[in-house]
Amino acid sequence: MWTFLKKDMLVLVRDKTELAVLVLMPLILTAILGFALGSIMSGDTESIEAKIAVVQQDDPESGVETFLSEIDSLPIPDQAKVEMGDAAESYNPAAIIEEAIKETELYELDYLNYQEAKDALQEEEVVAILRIPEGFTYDALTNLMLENGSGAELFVEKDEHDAFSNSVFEDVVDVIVDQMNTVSAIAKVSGENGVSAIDETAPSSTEQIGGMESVTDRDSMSSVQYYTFGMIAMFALYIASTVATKAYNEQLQHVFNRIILSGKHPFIYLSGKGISSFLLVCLQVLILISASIFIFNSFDVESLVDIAGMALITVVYALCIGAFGALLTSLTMRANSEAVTGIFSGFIVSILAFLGGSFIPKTQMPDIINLLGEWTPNGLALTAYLQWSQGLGFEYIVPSLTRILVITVVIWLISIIIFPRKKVV
Amino acid sequence: MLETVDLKKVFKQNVAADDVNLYLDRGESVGLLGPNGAGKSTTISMISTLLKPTSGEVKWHGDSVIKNPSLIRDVLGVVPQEIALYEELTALENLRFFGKIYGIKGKQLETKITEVLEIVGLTDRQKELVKHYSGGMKRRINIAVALLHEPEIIIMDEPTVGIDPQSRNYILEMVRQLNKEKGMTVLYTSHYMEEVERLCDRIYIMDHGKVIATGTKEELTSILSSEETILIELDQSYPQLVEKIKQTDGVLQVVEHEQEIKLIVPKGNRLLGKIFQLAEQEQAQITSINVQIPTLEDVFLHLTGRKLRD
Repeated sequence: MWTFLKKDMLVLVRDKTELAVLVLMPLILTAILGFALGSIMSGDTESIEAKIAVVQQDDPESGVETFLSEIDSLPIPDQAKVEMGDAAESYNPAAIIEEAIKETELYELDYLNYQEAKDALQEEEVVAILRIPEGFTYDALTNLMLENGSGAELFVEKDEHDAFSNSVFEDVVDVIVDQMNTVSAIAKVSGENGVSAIDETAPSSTEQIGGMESVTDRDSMSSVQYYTFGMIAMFALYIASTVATKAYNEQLQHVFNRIILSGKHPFIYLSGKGISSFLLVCLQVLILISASIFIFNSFDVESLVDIAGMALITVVYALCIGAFGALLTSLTMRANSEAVTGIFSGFIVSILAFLGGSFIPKTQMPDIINLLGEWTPNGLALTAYLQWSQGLGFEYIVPSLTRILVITVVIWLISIIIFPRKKVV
Repeated sequence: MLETVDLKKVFKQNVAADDVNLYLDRGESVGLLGPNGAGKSTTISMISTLLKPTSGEVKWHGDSVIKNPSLIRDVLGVVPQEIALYEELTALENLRFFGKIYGIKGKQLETKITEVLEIVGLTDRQKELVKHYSGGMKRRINIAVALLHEPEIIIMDEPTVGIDPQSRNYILEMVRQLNKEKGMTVLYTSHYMEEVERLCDRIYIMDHGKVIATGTKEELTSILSSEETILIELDQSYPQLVEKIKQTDGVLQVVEHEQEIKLIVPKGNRLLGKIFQLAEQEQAQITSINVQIPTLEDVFLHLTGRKLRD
């Protein structure tokens, strides 16, 4: 058997066109789909790495002191004065906003005076200025706790250069401020516990600004990660057709006859095709995930358990592709035509890839497509990869893997039944 | 040693081999001569167990090969008409692969590879990819693969098709040595009369799926002992002259090929004068005229009315 495997590997490795299709194409498509469709998925939090000048014109401590002296003169119970005083001392709206901006990991903050900031903007050293005006803390506290005034205002100044970065920054600040306002409104409605509620639910901006919602403690999945798995699931299918095409060539060139004349049973040949497909898929997945890690920097393998789970899914899926390789070999040799592999690679793989979610994320597909996708081996493999990479446990991927194994057994049986045996004596 | 009994293969309505009876004795070199489509390849496919006959039998030392193909597979080397090799692999890699599937391993395999490479004269080119080989070199490696497991019988299906005269000569000499010096039994199919004449002790002539004549070269050409062949070369083609010659009394067969006309006539029949007369009537210029000893080609022409390469 090893003789067959070695030969199949050598033949494939020397076929540069096939290699390009099986290894380079998925990488290119991962890059294109991952970066181009990243916004559709709202999952890509690639760093813009732009600088923002922060001009702090407010003195938060002074603002808090002014606010405290103001509430001291108000005709309210002492207990309320104490609670409001404690809340005000621990509440620094400018610091919360700055922290929220940092947490986006999109911008680096540079603290400058106003003139320096304007010069930096003009010199294009920063993409925007965030000016926190004098009295900002006082205005924010007064509006939040006493419902006086029109509220605190932040100023974002920008010019025409790096329009993308500064417009994103403006959006980021809007989201943070909206978030704070929402929290303030909730605090007001919640009555006496409102002040402390503001403090405890300080904005967690990352979840609101971008990134796929994650149901585990893992980071949200980026589009590049998604499409790495999507392309793995799709391009593994091409290995089955490649192996069958090689088998057709062996038949065409009468090499198959030579193998039969050596006394080798045809099923050993067929099994060789299945095992070759299996090994090639394992190798392909290894290359694609490694490339995704080193080229796109898209994965952080956190433990050996992560690797073991990925390996398990890969082995199960590769077994299924092995069965597909054997099935296509049987069909090709029975029909004595390359049309079988042509139809599979040119038409059926695309349909399976679409249904399985390799092109469009499963979350954005209609339920009926998702339902059909869950009956395709590539769709099941993709689901298992996504679940495992999101930290879901073994029990979550077992149903997908079981279904893949059932499909594998059925396809193997069909390929054995239809493999032509009558031609030879 | 090896014989076929009423071997027949029918593909749908087409009878590709029709009651073929032939035999090979140990150490013999037997030729299967016939034009393309005569049924030679079908016959050897059945002998080599790659094709199941519609009826008939192939026997190896009296035992049925149809019932037990493994009887013959170990002792049989087949050189197919096609280059049955992996072109993306080197000659050495091809030989190692096929050697291993025949169960030859380790040092024995390396020794056999060295030996067959020497036989086919490609020792110094063994590490080149087969796809970079010339047609003649591919044919030689095609033969080398069939020799790896030291077969008792080698069946060669048109092993010189499409190659240059030098490579062809090399292969023919190689086959001759395998048969005469190593004692290998050879079944050689070709539509090149001169190859079969040069290599084979006995010859089967096939046409339309049937064996139409058999014997040694001398036995076969003696069919024409009472006839002779006249080869006329003209300055150009004269179809009307050919028609007139065909209608001439005493002319048995006429075949025209471009400016050449081949006649089979009874020995001693004085027809040359008549032919010169007809040529003059048609204003045809005869550039040469030869009276030849009959060849296998002439035998085939006599038996079928067609040339071997028609």
